[in-house]
Order: sequence, then structure tokens, then C-alpha cells
Amino acid sequence: MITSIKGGEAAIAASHRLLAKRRRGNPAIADLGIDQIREQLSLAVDRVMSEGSLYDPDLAALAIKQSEGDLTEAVYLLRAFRTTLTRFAYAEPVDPAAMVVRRRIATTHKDVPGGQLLGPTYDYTQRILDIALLRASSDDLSDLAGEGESRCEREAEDDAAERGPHSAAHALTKDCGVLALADIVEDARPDGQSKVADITRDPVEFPSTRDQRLQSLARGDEGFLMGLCYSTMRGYGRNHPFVAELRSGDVGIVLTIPELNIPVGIGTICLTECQTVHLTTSDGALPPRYTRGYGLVFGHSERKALSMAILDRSLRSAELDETATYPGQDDEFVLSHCDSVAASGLVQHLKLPHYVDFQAEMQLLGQMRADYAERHANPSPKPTPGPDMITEALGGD
Amino acid sequence: MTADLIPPAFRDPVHDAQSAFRRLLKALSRPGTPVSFPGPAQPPQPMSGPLAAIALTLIDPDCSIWLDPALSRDSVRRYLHFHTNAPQVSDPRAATCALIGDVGRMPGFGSFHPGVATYPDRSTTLLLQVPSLAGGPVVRLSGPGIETTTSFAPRGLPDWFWPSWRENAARYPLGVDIFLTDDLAVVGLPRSTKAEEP
Amino acid sequence: METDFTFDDSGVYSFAYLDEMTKRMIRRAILKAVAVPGYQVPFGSREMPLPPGWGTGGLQVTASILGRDDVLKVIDQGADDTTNAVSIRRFFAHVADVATTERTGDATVIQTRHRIPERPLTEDQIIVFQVPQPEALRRFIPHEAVARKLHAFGRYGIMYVRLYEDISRLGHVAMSADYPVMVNGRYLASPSPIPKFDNPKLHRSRALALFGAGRERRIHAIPPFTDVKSLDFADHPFTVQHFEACCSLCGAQDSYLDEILLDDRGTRAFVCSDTAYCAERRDERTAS
Repeated sequence: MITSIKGGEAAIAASHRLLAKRRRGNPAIADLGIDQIREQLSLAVDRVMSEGSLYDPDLAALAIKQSEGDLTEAVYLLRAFRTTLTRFAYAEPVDPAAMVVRRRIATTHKDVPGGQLLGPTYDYTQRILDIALLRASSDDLSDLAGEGESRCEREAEDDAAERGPHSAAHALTKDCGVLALADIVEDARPDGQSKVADITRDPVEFPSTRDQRLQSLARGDEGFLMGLCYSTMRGYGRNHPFVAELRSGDVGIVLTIPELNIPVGIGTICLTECQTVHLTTSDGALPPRYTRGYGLVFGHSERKALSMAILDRSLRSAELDETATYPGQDDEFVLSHCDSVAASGLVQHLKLPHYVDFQAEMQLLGQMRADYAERHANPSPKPTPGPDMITEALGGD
Repeated sequence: MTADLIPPAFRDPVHDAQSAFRRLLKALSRPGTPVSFPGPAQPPQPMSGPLAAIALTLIDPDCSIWLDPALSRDSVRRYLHFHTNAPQVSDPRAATCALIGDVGRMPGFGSFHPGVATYPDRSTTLLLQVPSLAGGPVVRLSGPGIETTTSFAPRGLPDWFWPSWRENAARYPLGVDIFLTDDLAVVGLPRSTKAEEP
Repeated sequence: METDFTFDDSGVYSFAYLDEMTKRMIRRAILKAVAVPGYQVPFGSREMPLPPGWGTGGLQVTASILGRDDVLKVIDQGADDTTNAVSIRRFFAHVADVATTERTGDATVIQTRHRIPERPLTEDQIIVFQVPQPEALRRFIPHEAVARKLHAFGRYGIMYVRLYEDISRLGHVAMSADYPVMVNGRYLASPSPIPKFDNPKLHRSRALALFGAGRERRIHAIPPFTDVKSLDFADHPFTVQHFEACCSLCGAQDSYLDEILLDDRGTRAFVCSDTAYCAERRDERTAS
């Protein structure tokens, strides 16, 4: 007997209960605190803030907890919350030149003005599982200063101690080291637009502008950007990058209050900035020189900032008179597919019911199979359309 | 009320704007059919209540507006600035919405933006205040939203209006869209509507 | 519900979830869409509490038009009780405190995925479609800029050529859902993935149809009484699906049917995809 299928409501409620249960895990194990996630899974928090386009470590940590550590889901939770926030003002552009750096490297020269500052990095760790971390209770904080402070403050303090009072870090400027060589490196020129695009308000048009590209890349999925960046380096795109500078640290956010017209500092955020230089010879009008790629992301996310900078340069092919041949050079391809929220949404929507279109396609399949059987039983071919029939078809323009 | 006070906008900004929008949507999907349109109390002269209500419903800092000379008064400018914060522009072609208080002296449709072939939505929407939506010369409208034809007889339009509207419709899908209001109602006239004078 | 999103923080979220400025932006886009039937108006789609691709475009359109007096019906695959329909209906009941119904005739706003109800819609109704891919040309032309130019000049030859290739190779057009239509004689449009069975319902419908594509950031519309022609050729006219079976529950012979597999030996039955239509027919039968 056939009955109409009801019960979607109850199934959803039950699914939510099961989800809550799985999220909590074994109740004998202590519940994970938002503060623990914020402090001890800080790179995950940074990635979620960066791709979620919202700088709020507590909410990002909450999103990670709520999504059981599924970072793509966490990014989405943060984005959906961000939508509901009223935009009451625009801050002044941040000034990465004034960054209080925690880490800063330049790879083109052994020594550069401002110095190399290794800072916290996995780069020179040996990737050996640290069995000592298995013993959760054996926290030995004796060589970690500043217990109880936020990680930004604590790290800044450590760095200050390492560098000493005469640190050169504060002498960093916008273009230092190789980037200051104005005769061989292109100017970081504004492209003449007065108004900066806002991809969260207005859809990107193609061909895109650099501000639209940088914004899209900044919130793009790290894995996707890294893979595409990798493809341009492996030969699917002629990209020859050097990391002119990579820096990470805190910058101030300044808001100018319109009625009073006075700038007010409202806090600091942690950013990672990457500038790459690429040997460029294709542009006949100008002498061979280095052109730039630029990456800037929330938090400490070097892989992302680097991928972004290299893709930024590779997407400038139209501007620099290069032929765009590969996916990593095609702005529409990259920008339309780099957003993890959109990509995950469409891929996963295949789990939604599709009874209606499947049934429609099954009917079509039945009809095509019947036609096929008829054609093969009776081999006299159907007349192919003559040129006048095609013309008639084209006349529909 | 002193001249310095800015009259209030919608009593309930969320629900009054929603209700007004649905009326505008109905008006534009049924061209030529008047839809009753309550407005906020005491809009600054010479704005009618419905004209003020359309402005409050549609415009904001992302929607530039142009005001015709009849509406270019401090009281109107301050009212719109205070309640919508919409940028007020002096070139009608640069406006997303044009508010016209004196329809008899309005500039021709060619003064406004018709959109571009790839983006016909980048056109100016005209909000016209007319003395009355009935009692004038009759035109017959047809097109999307109209089952067969419908009659529409607004008063106070300039002589060139309907001949010029035919040119506007001929540029379709480019062209301007219009909302006409009197003190009580609104009528939509999208660019897809064809008009015939009997 | 404790496991749900955090909607119970009353006052944190606006009526119908979206803030007023976003609603105004979407409302302006909807009006342009109505003024130029079939043209896809770009809009600043927001992230919604459902993933993009799951109806966020429809959700945003509905959120921008919905008022306290509305009665909302939400269907997916024609049914009111599919999980996605339930989820979206709950969302609006929660953030907009709006009355909901399963009866097509009682609804003022119907949000749908993949179907148009069997009962003809009226002038007092608005139907909102969830659209995964609004660009009918996208399957041949991945580049947005190129497709936009073809729309600008109304050059749709490539679509006719593709349809004719199907006809010459297979004897008919190999498209069964999301079958392209010409709206008001000007714009080629995608009707969303409704079965072509439903295409004729769009032609000169009494109800306004709004199409929201959130991920692709486009809104288009078909006003009432607008010509909607499914593409075809004089010698190969457009036809819709025809079912040999009738509904096993209500006996309807005129409705679109879902196939139900009863066992692994291929035994199957058919029931109405439009569950409200089916239920109303059964109620009438019981009453009489």
C-alpha cells in the first residue's frame, strides 16, 4: 500500500538532536571552551575569520565549536552572522607599513633594512609528532611568559624581548628592501579608480578590477587558492615569484567620525601581508622589470597570503598584456570558484531531493532508448537537416 | 509645526516600508491599475504623502536621487537627507531615482539614464507626482502585466509625454520606468508597457 | 529548539532576517526585474543561514517581499513536507512570525524549488522560485561576459543550434527540466529546474513569478500575463511530459507524478508530486 510520506518535521528535529549529541562527544570528557579554541587553535580561528570576512576571534571560535571543527562550515556560520550586522561606517584603510610585526622575512636579500625576524613559524620545525603534547595536564608554562594574556599580546611581548629595545622593526616602511628599488620594481600604483569596490555589496563584473580580485581572493578558500597557485608555478601559467616580503603582526584600525571629522583608533587586528615580485618582460612598452603580487589576510595565515599574492599577479595578465591561457590566469574562473561557501553549497545541494528532475530525465531516457531501439532495428537513417532548416533555426535570433 | 522641524517618516519603518513596497510591486506588475498608497503624515510641501512614501521605501545611501526644481527646496532636501541619507545629484542622468514634483515642467525622458545594453537595469526610475491619476485624457495600455488592454487617464501630463513614451518603449529593453502618484494612489508604468492614444 | 541556529536571541535578527538596507537593495532589483521581464538583474546577494545552492536566492526574495499579513507556502519537489521545504518554512515562521499553509489556494506567497503547483495561481499570489543557475546560456558559454553580450543583442542562435543538433541526432530535444524559455519575446531565460511539464503554466500566468539565484547573484521576473514561449521549431513543436500512470493515492491523471520504488525488482507506483493538490483531491473525495 502506498501512503503519502510525511514526517520531514520530526526527522529534522531528530537530526538536530543527534547532531548535538555528536558535537558534545563523550560527556565524561570536559566540554571544550571557546577560550580554549581561541587560544590553542588560533590558526584555525584565523582561517575562519579570514574566509568568513569577519574579524572576531570569539565568534570564530564559537563557529569552530558549533561546527565540530569543520572549518568550511565554520566559515559559513560566520558569514551568515556577518550578513546581519549593520554597516555603520567604513574604517580608514589599514596601514601595514605601521604594523607592529611579530614575524617578518624577505627572501631576496640576506639582510634588508628592518632586518629579518623569524618569529613564530612551523617552517623550521621538524615534523615529528610531539609526544609530550599527549599529556594534557603536564602544562609547563615556566618558559612561556605572560600567562593568561591573549596570544597576540603574549607573542608581541616575546618578540620584543628577543629583539631588544633597539629593534629595527619599527623602521619598516611600505616599500622596503627590494621593493624600494624603484627603477626595477613597478610602482604600487592605484589604478585611477576613486571608489573601492565592495564585493559583499555588488556582484563582481567581468573583466574584473584588481580591488574586486583582491577582495575575492582574501575570502577565498585556502585550499583552492593554494592548488591554483601551485598550478601556475608548475607550468600552467608563467609565474616566477620571489617573496619580496612577508610580514605578520598587529595594525591599528582607525575610524573617522563623520560629524566630528576626527580619526579615532578603535582597536588592533592581526594581519599577514605578502608581497611578491615577478620578472616581467612581456609588456613591450616598458623595459623588463619586476611586477608585483599582493596578499593580505586576517590573522596569521602565511600559506593563504602567499597563494593570494601569486594569484593576484597571475590574474593581472590582461593589464600587463600577457596572454591568459591557464585557469590561474582567468579571473572569471578563479573568482567564480574560489569561494568555499558558494562551492560547498552547490556541491552539497546534490543531497537535496531531486525526484522531480530525475523523473523528468527518466522519461527522456526512456524516449531516447525507444528511439535508439527503433533506429537500430530499422537502419534507414533519418534525414539530416538541410542547410535551409539550419537557417530557419538561426533565424530565431 | 515650525519650518525647522523635519516631519517624521514611516511610523513603523520595517512594516510600513514592506507594505509600501508590495504596493509598488503590485503597481509595476499591473501597469496602469491604480494601487492605493498611504503615505507618512505631513511630508514637506509640495511632496504628496505617496511620493514621500515611495522615496522612503526605495532610496538609501546606495541610491542616488535627483530632484526637479519644484522639489529642490531645503525642506524637501533635509527631509530626504535625514530619513534616507541618499546622495542628491545635480545631473538627472546620474540618478538612480528622479523625484518630480511639477510634471508639467519635467525634462524629457532623454535627460535620464536609459541603462546600457549589457545592463538595462542601470536606468533611472522616475517618480512623478501628478494632480490626479484619473480624469485626464485616456490612453490605452498593453504589455506584460496587462491581460488585454487597460485604460489610464492621468491629469497634468505634458503634451509630449505619450509620444515620448512610445520612443521610450521602442528602446526596450533600455528605457526609464515610472511610478505616477497623486494624493491617494500609485500607478506603475514599466518600460515594457505600450501606450496608445485613441 | 536548543539545537537550532541561534534565532531565539530575540532582537538580534531583523524581521525576515535581512536588514532594511539589504531589503531595499533587493526590492530595487525586483522592480527592475519586473520592468524588464526575463532579464537577470545582478544584486548584492547576502549570505543566508542556509548554504548557497539551497535556496538562498529564493529566501532573500521572499524575505524582501514578505509581510506580517502574508500566508506563506513552501514547497520542494512539489511537496510541503520534504525536509528542505520544512526547513525553509520553519525559518520564516521563526524570523518573520508569518502564517504558513500547505493549501495552495490559501497562500499569498509561495516559495518553490523545482515545481509549480498544479492548481492555477491567482492574481493575488506571488510565486518565488529558487534558482541554482539563472543563465540559460551557461551550459554552452561558461563566460559571463560573453553570455551578457549575447543577451544584450538578443543573439540566441547558439541555443537554437544546440536544440536542432539534438533533434537531428536524437529526434527530439534532450532537455527535460530547466527547459529554456523566451520571455516577452526578448530575453532567453531559465525557468529554474522545473520539469518542462510546468513550463506552460508560466505563459500568461495570473501570478507574478520572481526568480532568485543567491549564489549567482541574479534576480529575474515574469510579470502576470507575460508571453513565455518554450523554445521550439515549427516542425518540432514543444511538448510536455505525459504520464501513462495516474496517481495511486488520488487517481489524478493531470498532475506531475513522483515515481516510488516498492522493491528491488522494479515494482513501482506513482503519486502526485504536488502533495497539497493530492491531499485536497482526496479530501474532496472523502467529503463527497
